[in-house]
This record gives sequence, structure tokens and C-alpha cells, in this order.
Amino acid sequence: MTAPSARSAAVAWLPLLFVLPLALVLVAWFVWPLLGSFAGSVHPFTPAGIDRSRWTLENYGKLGDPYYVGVLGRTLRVSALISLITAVLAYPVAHFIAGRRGRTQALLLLVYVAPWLVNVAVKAFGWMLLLGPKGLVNRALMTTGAIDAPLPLVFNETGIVIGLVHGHFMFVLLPLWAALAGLDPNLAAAAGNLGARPWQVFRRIVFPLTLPALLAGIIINFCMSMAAFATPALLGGARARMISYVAYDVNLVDLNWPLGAAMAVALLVVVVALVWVSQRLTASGRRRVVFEGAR
Amino acid sequence: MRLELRDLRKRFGDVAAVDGVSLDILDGEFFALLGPSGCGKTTLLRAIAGIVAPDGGQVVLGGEEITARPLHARNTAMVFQNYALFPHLTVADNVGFGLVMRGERKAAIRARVEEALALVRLPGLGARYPTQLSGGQQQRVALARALVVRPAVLLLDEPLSNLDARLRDEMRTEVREIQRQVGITTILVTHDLHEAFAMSDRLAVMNAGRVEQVGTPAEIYARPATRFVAEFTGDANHFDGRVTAVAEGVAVVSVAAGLTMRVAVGDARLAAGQPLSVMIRPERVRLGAGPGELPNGFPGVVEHATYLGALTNYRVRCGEARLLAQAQTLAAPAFRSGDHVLVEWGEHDCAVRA
Amino acid sequence: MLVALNVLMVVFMLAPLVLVVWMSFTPDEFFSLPLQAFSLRWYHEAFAYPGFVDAFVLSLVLALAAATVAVSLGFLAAYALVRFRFPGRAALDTFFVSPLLVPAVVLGIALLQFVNRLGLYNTFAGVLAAHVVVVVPYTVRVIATALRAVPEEVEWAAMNLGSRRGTMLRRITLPLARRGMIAAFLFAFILSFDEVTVTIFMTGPAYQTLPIRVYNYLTDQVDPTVAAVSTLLIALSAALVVVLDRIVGLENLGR
Repeated sequence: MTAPSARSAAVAWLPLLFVLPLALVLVAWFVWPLLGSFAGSVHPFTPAGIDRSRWTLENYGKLGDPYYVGVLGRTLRVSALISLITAVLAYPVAHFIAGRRGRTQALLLLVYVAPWLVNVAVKAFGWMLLLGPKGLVNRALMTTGAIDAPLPLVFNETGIVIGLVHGHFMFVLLPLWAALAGLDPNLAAAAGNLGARPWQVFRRIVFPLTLPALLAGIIINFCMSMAAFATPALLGGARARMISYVAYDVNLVDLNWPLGAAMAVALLVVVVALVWVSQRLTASGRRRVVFEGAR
Repeated sequence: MRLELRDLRKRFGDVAAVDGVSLDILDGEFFALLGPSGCGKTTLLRAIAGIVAPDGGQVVLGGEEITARPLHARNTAMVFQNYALFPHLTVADNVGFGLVMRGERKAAIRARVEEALALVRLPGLGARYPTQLSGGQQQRVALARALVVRPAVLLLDEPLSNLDARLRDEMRTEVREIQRQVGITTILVTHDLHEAFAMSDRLAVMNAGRVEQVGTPAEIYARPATRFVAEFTGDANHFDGRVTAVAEGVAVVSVAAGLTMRVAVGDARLAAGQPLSVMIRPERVRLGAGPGELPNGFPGVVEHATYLGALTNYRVRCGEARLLAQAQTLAAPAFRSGDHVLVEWGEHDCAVRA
Repeated sequence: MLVALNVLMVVFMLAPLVLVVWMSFTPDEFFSLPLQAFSLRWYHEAFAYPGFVDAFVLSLVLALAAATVAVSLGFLAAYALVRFRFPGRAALDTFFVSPLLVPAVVLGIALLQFVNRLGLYNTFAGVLAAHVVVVVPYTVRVIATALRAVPEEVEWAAMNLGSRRGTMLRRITLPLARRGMIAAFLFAFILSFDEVTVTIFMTGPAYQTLPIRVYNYLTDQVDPTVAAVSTLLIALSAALVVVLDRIVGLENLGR
């Protein structure tokens, strides 16, 4: 297919005209600042300010301090837990939604997508109301006599886990649901016909075939948890700081920008690497599920 | 094993996909369900397999009622139209899947998988993945996977429709051969008339959820019970008329288009004035130049001759009636448009319906 | 069992939002869930509190501006990606979507240091540009999907009949892609309005968007005013989601 001829000369620069505005904005306000961070992270921070005449890797070295390593460890642990819980919950939900028809399915998807479009601070507030010492959950439990003292459900790691499982759930649910819905229904019918009970169908057919989508989603979910800021800040309290909050402290309180930049760069590298891995998983998964017959 | 279907019904919303179907399929028989898309044949097959649950009626296999049994507890095996091979398993694992589900031991599974692959003429392909096989090979793997579990009934859901024409013909004979060898009761669902005729011992013609006729291919072709069956199974000349006289198994019928024909009716009790429909297949309508020898002969004019290679179709007008005749071409079409011919057929060349 | 779990999950998804809305109607001074009496006093408080009203106006203007810019730039870029063939098209496609890859924290830090060096800390222009960067991957994707549904032949026919490309875009392509454009705009609007992390890093106390003001409120003190404000934010999101669903159907937004 070729566009109408007579414009061949003009057509050459026309695409450029269209993409240039956005490309310029992105370069100026996205690429350049990031490069600036790379550059800024290799200058030493002195009491007098940033010494731009010297180059050093000491900022990255500082990331190895026990304090930072500890916070990173907590962040990794919490993010892994969040991903695990999300993975376990996503399957039954995706399976249920995939089994509904038309309007019900659309409505259910809406329920899971809508929280994403609600402000992060508002959601955190809601969890505070639910999980706080005088919150709904604790008050209900205490009135029924199940517990004597309120459970510490928020302003700690538990709060962060609950808040981030809630906030990021859709990002695992949607790809998993899409993979489940895209499975040839005859595969499950064939397996059952050959003698597989429902749980065997799941274990041997559905799960292996949707695993790439799940893994890809979980990895993205892990990255999002690692990098989340507002939710852990509000629901974690002073007791459970994640690296994003430490980055805030370093940049806006300590004003140690080289170190702050180093943290940004390190986080970016980790996230990009993980996303790359996740893309490879979906790509290979797609090749294997492509056979769906002539339907 | 013998399979009986008793008054099966299934609705989807407002539509009755299967509307009271009863069939009796004999042990070892190759039985076809023939009909246009949407006639309910696939739904019926799925009801037998247990993939859909019927709203009413019973499925009885080998004397035992299995209507309420779940999908995985029936002794049927199905080959799907798109094969439904598990893409993440090798061919060997695909074929052996049913045996694994039945708890067989590894050595036994391996032996039987090899046996099944040899039966469908795919020895040695066990380590490949379905995506690496051609359509014909995938189809055979699907067949092997179904046969290896030695089911009581083999269900084939239009298994050849995704193959190209030449491969389809080859596979028809192969599948039928394998079925004879194994001796398993088989039900084939197809919309392809030739496939049903070529492969089955008996078939049922279905339309809008009901069975219109059950019989051998010859019976169905020569004596279609309804107009739908007649038209679905080939070209046909139809005449609606009234009986004017009956004597010694032959009725004289006067048809709307002004012809009077003599048709054999056997023992049927017919009264004068009774309406009767007559159907003649085009290949039974003989065209000739000169004096007739058969009981039914009418002068006519050839309106159109369509050359089809081995055959030629003629459209002939006899008075007000239009007839379709078909003859072998031999060297060249015998008649051309405008020729005057004598159209004739015998008393036993037609089928009647009251 | 499956049904029970799913019911619990739906409750889980909606619980915090329901609670905030419920709380906003309490007549009491402190946080309590109103069971008998319902009151709008905290809504009055919210509107009376200049901080919230100012922040709302700022967020509104910012979101409208960011959405407009993002949709305009996004349309041009998406059009080029969908209609033209040129070397590096795939790479450019990835580039336009790359802000999604970068965590908000990282972008926030980078922009914080960047705008400071330019002297643009705490300015409308700086924050606007940041919001555009965050939001534009979504507008490009949504508009590209909408444009793909407009057959190229229609444009060729128009140009064949003598229309110049600019006019053709205005009178043929845009109207046909209208639903996608509106969806992209609403999407960009919600995302900009709700944006917290990057904005927090880039602005100081003098220049707060509504979500940030809510965030700060939550970190210092908490009284039901914030519940009223939050409910209004939820209502805004809900309204936009409903409009989006009506226009386009959320499942069709194309990933």
C-alpha cells in the first residue's frame, strides 16, 4: 500500500513535522533530566554544596551502607510479599471474571479498574479508616469480643502490603484475565474429555499456559511496589520506611542531590532490567500459545 | 458399545439447539450426523461427551445411563474441529494425556503411545510440539490421543474440515480404515454430504435441532423422507401432485405442471385424489432422441446444457415443467440448447412422499 | 467457594472508597461512621477552607492544560506512527511510551534537580511539563488505537478529491477519531488530576495540587474535612470513568 504519489518529496519530512513536538518535549523534560541525574550522581556532595569539578562513585558506594541496605531489604521483602499475595488472589478472580458473560464481566472489570483512577492519597485515607486502631475493622472485632486490644494493621508493613495489593491489583489481573479469556475453550474440554478433573485441568493445562502472562504481570507489579511512594509513606508510618521515602528524605530534606540522584539511577536500572525480563517472558509465551486452531 | 439417545433436548436462550433427538447407534457402527451449520449436530455431540448438559432426555451407553455423569467420568473421546492439542506438551505427552489421567504406569503409557502413533502412521514424532506439525499431522495426533484411551465411543467433530481438499479425501479413507481396524463405535459430525456418505454405515440428517431421517447413505439418497433431506443430499426434481389411480403397486400421479407420471409405490395404501410428492434425481432422468421404452416419457426441449467435465447437466422444459437431468458426458455433451429430446424414467426411478 | 472469594475481593476493592464516602457525612468532630445522623458540615468546611479551594482550582487548571497539551502532542505523534512509514518508527513508538517505564520517584528526583538548576522550581510551567510527560504515553496509545480504526482509504479519498492534508485532518480524521480523542483527554485529565508522586518532589508548600494537599493533611492532622474532599475526588473520578465507559467502553482502551 502506498500513499498517493505526487507528494513523494514532501512526504519525506512530513512525519518529522508530526513527531517533533512530542519528541522535543520528551527530550527536554524527560531524557535531559534523567541524563542530568546520571551526571549529578557522580559528583561528590560536600557541606559547601555539590562539587561539580570532581567525579566519584562514592555516592553509589554509600548505597551500600547498612542503613540503606536495610531499607532496600525491607523494600524487597515487602514487594515480594505483595507480588506473592497478588499472584495467589489474581487467579481465582481472573477465572471468575472470565466465566461471566457480557455486562457482568464488564461491570466486574470496572470494579477492579476503577480504584486505579482514584487518587492514591484518598485510597490510603480509606485504608487508614479501615485499619486504624479506632478503625472499622478493629472496632468490629473488639465489639464482637474476638480481640481485646486493637490489631496493628496500619502504620507498619502490614498496612503497606494491604494498600499496595489493593492499589496495584489491576496490573496483574488484567493481563491474566486476558490470557485466560484467550485460551481456546476446547483445550479445557479436551482435557476433561480425556479424564481430567477440574483441578487437574487447571494444574496441567490452564496454569502452564497462562503462567507467562502471570509472571510478566507479577514482575511489573514487583517493580511498582519497589518504586511506590505515596501509599507506603502514608500507610507505613515511621516504622516501615521504603526506599522511595528515603529517597524523598535524601533529596528534599537532606538536599543531598548527588546521593539522591544515585538512588534514582540505581532504582531505574533495576526496574528497567526487570521489565526487560518480563517482556521476554511474554514474548516467548506468545509464541507457544499462538496455536489456537483455525477458529 | 451401543449408544442410545432418548429424546435429548438443549436450549440456549430462546433457541432449541437440540429439540427431542432420539437415536440408536449400534456397537462398532460408524454413524454420521449430517446437517447444515446451526442444525444442532455439534451440540448433540457435546451432549454425548458431557461438555454440555442437556435440559432433558437421556444418554445411555452400553446399557448404562450416563446423562448425569460429569465430563471426565464418561468413556467417550472426542476429536475437535480445531484439534485442541495442548500446545505446551509434546506430541507424546498429548497422546498420553488420557492415560496419565487414568493413572497408568509410565512404561505402559510409553508403549501404548507408540502403538497409537503407529496406528495413525506418525511413528517417531513423539518429541515434536504441535506447532511444529502440519494440519494433517495434527489431526492424526488428535485422533491418536482419542484412540489410545480405548473409549467406548469415538466422537469426531468435523475433524477434516480444516484440511485442504486432497488431504481430506486421503484422511477420509484412512480414518475409516482405522475405525474398522479398531472396531470402535464412532459418531461423526459433518456438514459435508460426501464425507457423510463416504464414511458412514448409517447417518442421521438433522435440521433445526431435529432428526429428519435416519438410514444408510443409499436409503437416504434414493428415498429421502422430507423435502429438506432430498435437497440437502443432492440435486432433485420435485413434483407435487395427486393420485388419480392405483393398481398393483403403481400409482398414476397427476402433477401440477401438467404431467402425468407412473410411480412405484410398493405396499403403500393410497386413495385416489390423495396428494403425493414425487422426487426424481437428475441422473435417473434419461434424455434420448427417439422412441421411448420407459413408462414415463415426455417430449421436451433442452434449455441449457452445462458441461462439467465428466458430467453434463441439462435443463429441459417439458410443457410447463422444468426438469434437471444429468448424464455422463463421454466424448462430448449429447445435446445442446434448443434440441428436442425425449425425457424418460422408469417407475422405480423416483421416490414418493405422502 | 470461588464465588465467596470473589465477593470478598470486590468488597476489598471498594471498601476504602466506600468508607471514605461514608465518613464524609459524619456530623461529629472526630472520625466516626454516621449511622443515624448524616451531615454536610464537612463539605461546608471543605469549601470554606481556602487551601482546598485553591488547590482544587490549581489541580483543575493543571489537569485541563496537561490534558490539552498531551492530547495535541499525542495526536500528532500517534498520527505519524499510524499513518506514515519511516525508519525508526518502532523505536520512536517505544520512546513515546518510555515514561511508563520510569518509576515516578525516579522521575520526580530527576525533575526536582533539573527544575532547580533552571530556576523553575515550584512553577506552573515546570509542573505542567512534568504532568504532560507522565500522561502522554497513555494519550499516544489511546489515540493510536482510535486512529487505526479509521481506514486510511478515507483519507486518501479526501486528498484525492483535492483536500490538503491539514484540512483533511481537521474535517475528516479528527471527527472520525473523535471518540478516541475524547477518551484520551478524559484519561489524561484524571491521571494528571490524581498525580501525586512526581508533583510532590517538584513543588513546595506554596504550590500544592489538591491530592498533595490531601496527602499533607493526612500526614499531619486528620479531621473529617479531608473525607469530604476525598469524596469529591472520588466522585470526580467516578464521573469521568462513567463518561469514559459510555463513550468508549473501558475494555476497549487497547493496551
